[in-house]
Amino acid sequence: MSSGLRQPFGKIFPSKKLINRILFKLDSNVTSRNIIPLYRQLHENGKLIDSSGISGNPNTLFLMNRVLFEVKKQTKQQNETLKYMELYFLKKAALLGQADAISLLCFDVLNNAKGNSTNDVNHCSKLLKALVQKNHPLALKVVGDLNYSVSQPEESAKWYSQYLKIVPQGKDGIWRPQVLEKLGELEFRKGGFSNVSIAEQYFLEAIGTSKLQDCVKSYFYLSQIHVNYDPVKARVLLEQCCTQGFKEAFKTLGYLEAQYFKNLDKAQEWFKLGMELFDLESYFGYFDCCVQSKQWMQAYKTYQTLLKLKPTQRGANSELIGLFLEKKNDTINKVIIEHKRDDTDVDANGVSSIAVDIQRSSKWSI
Amino acid sequence: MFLCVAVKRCHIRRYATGPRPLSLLSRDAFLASSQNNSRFEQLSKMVLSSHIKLIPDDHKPIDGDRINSEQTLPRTTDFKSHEDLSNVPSWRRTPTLWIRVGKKLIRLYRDSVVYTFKLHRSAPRISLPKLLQQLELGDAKSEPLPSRKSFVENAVRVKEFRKIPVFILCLIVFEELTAVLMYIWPQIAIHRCLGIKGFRKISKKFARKDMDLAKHPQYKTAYTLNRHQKLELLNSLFANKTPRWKFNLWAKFQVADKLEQEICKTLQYLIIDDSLLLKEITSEKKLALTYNELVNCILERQLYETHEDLNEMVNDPKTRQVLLWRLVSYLSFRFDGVLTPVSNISGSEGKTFTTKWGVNNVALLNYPGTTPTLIQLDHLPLLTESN
Repeated sequence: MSSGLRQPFGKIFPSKKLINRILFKLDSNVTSRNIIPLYRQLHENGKLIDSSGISGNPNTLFLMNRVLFEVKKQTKQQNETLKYMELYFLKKAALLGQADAISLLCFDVLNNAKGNSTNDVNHCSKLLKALVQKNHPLALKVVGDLNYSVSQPEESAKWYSQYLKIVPQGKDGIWRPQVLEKLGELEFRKGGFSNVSIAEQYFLEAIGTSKLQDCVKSYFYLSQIHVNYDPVKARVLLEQCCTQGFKEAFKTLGYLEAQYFKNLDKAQEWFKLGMELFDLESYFGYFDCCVQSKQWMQAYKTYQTLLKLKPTQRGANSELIGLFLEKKNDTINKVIIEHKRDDTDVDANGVSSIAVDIQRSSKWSI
Repeated sequence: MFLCVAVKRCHIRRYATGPRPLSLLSRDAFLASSQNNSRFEQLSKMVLSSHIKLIPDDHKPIDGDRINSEQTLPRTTDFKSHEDLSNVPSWRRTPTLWIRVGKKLIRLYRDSVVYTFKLHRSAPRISLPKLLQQLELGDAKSEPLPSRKSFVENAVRVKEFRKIPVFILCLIVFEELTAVLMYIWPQIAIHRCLGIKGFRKISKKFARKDMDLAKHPQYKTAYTLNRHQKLELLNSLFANKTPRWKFNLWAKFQVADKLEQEICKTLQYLIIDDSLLLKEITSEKKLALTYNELVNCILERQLYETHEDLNEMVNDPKTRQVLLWRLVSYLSFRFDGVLTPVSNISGSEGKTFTTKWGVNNVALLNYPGTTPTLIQLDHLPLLTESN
């Protein structure tokens, strides 16, 4: 922490504009002018010196924690110093009795029960129980999350439903979309048309009440619901997921473009982006696209990359590559032959193969 | 995640050998192809045991008729043939006939306009993808499926509403000449108001031009077709009620996805209609299909050739059977090994239509269920004897 704090505050802390935007989103009545000095104070001294006034208010401290959480989510990166600050404010707010902070802290401890002492776990259980008895909304969500993490779908659905009863539509928008998304996910996993329809309603409500970045999973699951019956709708939803870098979406969208919309160029682009995230199936899709569009050089390179990747992968991934290479043996042989023929043609025309490589490769070259 | 798996399965399925239509090349070929088709066996038994009953148009719809939507379909016989003039003195038979026919026509026009208008006002919006999903994945807990009658009326036949203004205008301006106008330009008439000859003109336009002789359909989406093929396909689909000028406009300005979406919509409509029809056929209750509903089924699925007059065929006992067998072979080819909504609920084994054929497989539109020709009169002994 101390080494992290030595970095200049201006370098690690986000702009005032972003903080203001987040405060507006969180519907706060505290301004950035009030809280940024506190962040600076913590950064420079390692703790808050003055605990009177605004810094002694548990709600403000919890708000400061949420601001840092939002910064992490929006910038999609985590800074050690900001992480320390986030935890510091959470603990401080919890110590001052902020119920939301206590709930979140309890979740952290109980979710990682093995990494914490028995005393801590027992104490957190007691605190959470007390909050649940008071019907505190976030405590209910946290209990649902804990059940969800230990694969108890029915229990978690029960707690989430209880949360929705307490927090009706249009109130307290921060946690509601998350709960809706989780409930939708649980219904979706059950399968069957009626459950999928209920899940769809949850996802649509989650999408309607939050921003895209907060409910990417809802978009993805919705696309899965529509993929077999309304591929155009599924494509739009998957494209939205891809804008947020949702790894699963790239290969699905790539396959949809290649198999249904027959747009190999677009499919190739989606697979390329998927490959940048090291999604294995995107490699397979890209190889197929290259073969179909007779880009032997690219197909050969993908094959070579897969060969290189195979020993580095573990378990299922390694097996998957092996299976792919085995199934596509004939195609691979053809790719090797065509690739060699391409090379010979190029050499005969007096153009070096490296030049052709440069010409053909894009910024995502393998 | 199971849907994702389904897509992957479809993806693999597309490269596999598809099911083959019934072969009418020879007796042996037919027996061989029909033996592997359990759906054909099931449906042909139903035809032979008179489980599927064909009834004339003037059958009065009773409450609870879930299949036939007579009020939206043209008659298969003209009014003239039903008039009994034996009690009328011969010197005034002709004027009496025309007066009676005229009265009936006016009543028909009025009823059709009123029915279409009411239908338009009360029709709920139908989402074809959603309904198809319900048909395929529906379980005991899901909402009940609509009846075939309400489905076809709300999804397609309600679209006749847009013809009402021009039709009424014609009636006001041309009065009794409207019937002649509808013969010359049958497309201006509300479908129910079409005369025999007007219908013949329409049916000629949408007849199956050539048979696809490929042994089994390869997976093809609407996106694999070029602009000309898409326009040709859309113009040949009777079930698509979108005005034709819109297609040309979309094609000219290259509006993305519009033509493809229209093809998919029509395909999905046909799949749902087939499924609901099959559901009714395979249910325990006997199925009574009116002549005009049978003709419409044949017309929408293009199970006839240009030279064939469907109205004439359906009113002849022998050729009526030909039409029925064509519908049966069409359904058998498409739904062999496919879960019907009834069996779906009971949890029997089988695939969903989408899993079997792939997502929106437009190649299916080329296949009437038999090769190399449609079922003809001389095939009837073979069909009946095989069971």
